[in-house]
This record gives sequence, structure tokens and C-alpha cells, in this order.
Amino acid sequence: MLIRTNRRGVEAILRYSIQRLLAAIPVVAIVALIIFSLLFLAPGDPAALLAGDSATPEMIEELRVRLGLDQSYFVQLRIWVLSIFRGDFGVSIFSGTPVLELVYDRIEATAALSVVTTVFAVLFGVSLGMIAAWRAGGFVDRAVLVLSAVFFSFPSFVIAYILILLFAMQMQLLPVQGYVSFQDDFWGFWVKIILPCITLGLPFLALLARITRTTVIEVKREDFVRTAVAKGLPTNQILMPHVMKNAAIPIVTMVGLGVSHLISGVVVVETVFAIPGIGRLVVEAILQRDYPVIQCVTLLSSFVYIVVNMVVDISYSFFDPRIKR
Amino acid sequence: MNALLPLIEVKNLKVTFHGRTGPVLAVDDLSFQVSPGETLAIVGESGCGKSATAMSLLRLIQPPIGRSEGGSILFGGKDLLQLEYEEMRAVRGREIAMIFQEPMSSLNPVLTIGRQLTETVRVHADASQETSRLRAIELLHLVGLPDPESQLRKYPYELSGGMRQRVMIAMALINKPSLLIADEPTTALDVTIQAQVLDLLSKLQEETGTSILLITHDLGVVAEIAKRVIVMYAGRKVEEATTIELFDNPQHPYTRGLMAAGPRLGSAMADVKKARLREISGTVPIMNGELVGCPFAERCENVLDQCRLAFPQDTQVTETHCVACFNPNGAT
Ligand SMILES: Nc1ncnc2c1ncn2[C@@H]1O[C@H](COP(=O)(O)OP(=O)(O)O)[C@@H](O)[C@H]1O
Ligand SMILES: [Mg+2]
Repeated sequence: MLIRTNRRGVEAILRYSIQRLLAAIPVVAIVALIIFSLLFLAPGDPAALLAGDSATPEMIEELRVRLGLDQSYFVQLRIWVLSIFRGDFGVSIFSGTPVLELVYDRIEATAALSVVTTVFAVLFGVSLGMIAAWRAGGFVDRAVLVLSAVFFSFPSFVIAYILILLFAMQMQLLPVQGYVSFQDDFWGFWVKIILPCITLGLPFLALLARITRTTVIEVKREDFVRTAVAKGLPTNQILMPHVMKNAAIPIVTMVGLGVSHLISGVVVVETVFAIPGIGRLVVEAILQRDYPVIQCVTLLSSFVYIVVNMVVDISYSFFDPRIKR
Repeated sequence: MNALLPLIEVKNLKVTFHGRTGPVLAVDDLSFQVSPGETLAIVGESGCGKSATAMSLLRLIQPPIGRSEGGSILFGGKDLLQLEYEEMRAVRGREIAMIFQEPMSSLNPVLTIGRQLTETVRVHADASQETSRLRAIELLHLVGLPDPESQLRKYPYELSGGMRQRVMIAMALINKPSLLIADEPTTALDVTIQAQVLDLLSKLQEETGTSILLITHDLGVVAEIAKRVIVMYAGRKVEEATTIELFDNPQHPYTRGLMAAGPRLGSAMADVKKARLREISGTVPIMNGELVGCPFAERCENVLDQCRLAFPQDTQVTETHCVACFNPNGAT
């Protein structure tokens, strides 16, 4: 098959992954520090928001003391860092729920949305790009070029409203909003996640189709493809693995970038489609200056970002044996 | 030799490339045949249409790059130019196999040697993984690679140019083709390796009985292994003879020029270019449809007025020797 693994290979990858994760610790630390400092400097006072409109200055001051917000920057930073090392991300200023619990409740929807979107975008984006490249200049090729330009330049919320208008309101095929866990209602899960995934995935798909097309056209010109044809290989075998394994690295790089970008797209899509995910959690938290929640989600997403990059890097050596780790 | 039915018979082949500035006629009205077990060489400077001819036999020149048109390529009772895609695919790599000019880039860099060899067996025969693996080992052994089993696990970048060309030769011969096309198989290689690869080719031909169409710009290579030679210039066949006749009694001014420039086997490309510049000035014209008459006229020392009006017919010198020239002997 494409990927050959043996015991030594697996060990090497494990060792490499651990190294990469260790090397990422300073990055995460710097991200954490920046987030913390920005929040400290940012205008807005959670105590005032929490106390409400009718609160007196004394009440607000009392709240600030209780929340520890009256302490200096360094004292607050030390408290925060020490509690993270204990695995304690604090409690939400507003609901009083532990932050980890909030994140845990919301993460499934976001994870499901991201995974289904990625699979959808990769499957269709790469296939379309391949077909377009194989018959460069043909109908599919021109369609892919035009559509990818359109979808890539449309903002997500515009795509979302068009889709809702078409499939949910006009044809009444799909529900407008909402989310159910696939554990509760498998079929309902799919019905509800289709439109959000298409919204989130179309720009991603468009990007992948383009990069796949360009790369495959380039690889097609290589001498070894001529050799593959001269050997009498059928088209599907020429494409897979001869062309695609050579085209994989730019495509996988783009998949990694796309996945990292989903993190921001998720915020819009979860809001439009009323999906109770991390994206909406963080929007609410920002509006309320709920510092512990914002900090935890930011750390989480920088961690995801690092892991995605690592997986992409590791995959390079599967596709190209010349890349040594 | 002539009693045998030809293995492949090319008649009036024409190959056009769709170049940026319009069509380029790379091969024009070319006819030749190869007998079973024979080695035929095609020589000519770079840009003469040798590769275009070779690739046409496997129908590797397809739109939008270009096309092979007119004439016919008869092989095993069929015209290759008329075959359906799947029929042609059955010929490629099985009946007719090809070694390319660029050993460094003709193997897939990200697949193992083993994978590239075994798939060539399995695409044409219902062979098991193990059978095809054994066959691959056998062929690597045949082309003289040390420790064939461990080579199977290697990637092309782990092999030298000469070794890669040996792998290409093994891959081409793995299905026992009746015709092997070798397009400048030694041009990209070191001098010492060149001789080794040529020796290997002639040894393998004796063992397997396959016919070879050898393409080269190097008359030294021709002398080494070919029985008959075709000299091409600007897409045209200008002379055809047995190797002995050609060297003893070259007729076309272009052939004589090549011989005077004639680098011996093993000289580096740079020397070839320098020598060529001294002996025959000018370069191969690009045939974009404007040129009439003999394309060599511009560079020919025996040129006559009629040379610029029409391309000369073939003249038989002997039964096995013909030349397309109005004035081979330099009359004025
Ligand atoms: N892909 C191409 N597009 C346009 N013209 C080409 C292409 N390949 C070759 N040619 C032209 O066709 C002619 C013959 O080329 P080729 O068969 O490669 O020569 P040779 O193998 O004898 O060096 C040359 O004039 C070359 O410029
Ligand atoms: Mg060539």
C-alpha cells in the first residue's frame, strides 16, 4: 500500500512526535502569555458586567476582590500559571462552572463539525482537482476553476444564508439550525450537520481543488509518468499511486492549513446554525470578558494547531522517502 | 534477413507537435522496418525527430502535446495507430517496451524499485505478488545489479545513474517484449558506464532474441551494436544502410559530416557539440511548414538549385543501402 510501516518506523515516529510536542511547549507558553497580557490590557471589566446595571461601585469593587482581579499583573499571572500546572483551568466567572466542564460539554459538536467538514472537503476537493487536471482545459476543469474562485471569495455567512434559503426554507429538505449528538440520534446528526459542513467546507474544498489541480498538472509532465504510460498501466494506477504520491506534499500542507483555519470559520458557522460548540462558547466568553474560558479555549486551539502541523510534517516522510526526519 | 517478415513496419509516419508558435513537424514521411532479433539504429543530431519517432511507436505523443498522423505502424498484423486505447495498453510494456533518455527522472522517485518492477509484471499478467517479485529479482540479476533482493526495497535516489538505467532496462525486459526501444540509453551516463550499458544491451539481445530499435546521436554507439542504420535529419530519413556499408561508403553529405565530426564511443557530450560545430556548420532547422526542398540544403556543401525546390526521392545504392540526395558525389 501507500504507507509502509514497520516496527522501526513506528518507533521513529513516536520518538519524533514526542520531540515535537516537547519543542512546542515554549510556543504554547508564549501564546498563553500573550493571551493573558492582552486580556489584562483589554478594556472592559468582567466584574462590572457581572454585577449588572444597578450595581453600586462598592459592589463592583467587592466582586473584583473576590475574583482576584484587583491583584497586580504578575500576581494574577502567577496564580493562573500555577493552577494550570495543577490541571486546573479555573471556573467561569459567570456561570461558576469549571471551565474544563464547559469545554468538555461543547467540544463534541465542534469536533464533529470539523472532522466531517475536513473529510468532505478533502474527498471532493482532491477528486475534483484530479479530474480537472487529468483533462486540463476540459469542461470539469473550467467548472472547477470558476467555482473555486467563487466559493473561495464568498464569505462563509453569505454561503450559509444562501444554503439555508435554498435547502431549508424553499425546499424544506433540511433543518435550519441546531445540533444533536450522533450518540443520541444518528440520522438526525447527519441531517443537521450537512448545511454547516457545506458552509464551512466550500472555501476549503475550493482551495484544495485548486492546489490539487495545479500540482497534478505539474506532476503529469514528469518523465516517470511517461514511463508509467509506456509500461501499459491503466489510468487509475497511473494516478494512484504514481501521480498522487508525488503530488501529496503540497496537498497535505494545504489540508493542514485548512484545518487550522477551520478554527476561525467554526465561530461563524456555529453562530449562524446555532450549534452549541466551542466557537460559540468563546464568542460568549469574549462578550462577557470571561477570562478563564477565553484563556482555556485559546490554549486548546493553539495545541490543536501544533498537533495538526506535526501530523502534516510526519506525513511528509510517508509520501516522500527522500525526506528524512 | 529480408526473407523474414518484419516485426514492425513503419510506413510514411508523420509526427506533429503543437508548439507555442504553431505546429512543428518533427517527423515527416518516415518509413522503416525492424526484423525479428535485429538491432536497428536511428542516428542524427539532437532535434532530428528521433525521440518523436520512438515515442510514436508506443503512441506516447497524444493531444494536446502533438500527434502521430498519416501512414501506419504495422505490428503483429495490426496498425498501432488505429488501435483502441485498451488494445494499445496491452501492447505497451508487454510487446513493445521502451528505455528513456533520462535515467534520473524516468523512475518514480517515491516508489520502491520493487514496486515499480512488480507492477509492470502484474499489469499484464495474472501473477501473484511472489511470482512477480521473483521475476523482478531475476531481471535485476540479469542486468547485473548486485544483491537484487535488497535493491527491491530501495528508492531510485539510493541508486546511481548507471544503476537506474539498469533498472529501467530490467523493467523494459521484464515481460519479454519482442521490441525494445532504447532512446539514447547511454547519453546521460558517465563514459565508463556507457560502454557497460551498451555491452549489457547486446548481451541481453543475444539471450532474449528481442529486436532493438536503438536511438542515438553517436555513431560510435552504432558501430558497437547495430546491424543496420537509419540516418535522420530534420524529421526525414536521409540514408539507410547496413552498418558496414554506411561506414565504408557513406553517401549523404550529412552522414559524411557526422562521420567527420564522429566522436568515438565514449566521448563526452561537450566534445560532440564542439566537433559538430567544426565539421557541419549550422543547426537542425525547426520544421514549421515554411521550408520546402531538402532541409539540409542550408548546411550542405554539395547543394544544387533543385535541392531547394523538392525533397529528393530515395535512390538505391545497393539492395540494402539507399540515400535521399540529388547530389551525393558533389557534382557542380
Ligand atoms: N513537446 C514538444 N513541443 C513542441 N515541439 C517539440 C516537442 N518535443 C519535441 N519538439 C520538437 O520536435 C523536433 C524533434 O524533437 P525530438 O524528437 O525530441 O528530437 P531528438 O530526439 O532527435 O533530439 C524538435 O524540433 C523539437 O523542437
Ligand atoms: Mg531525443
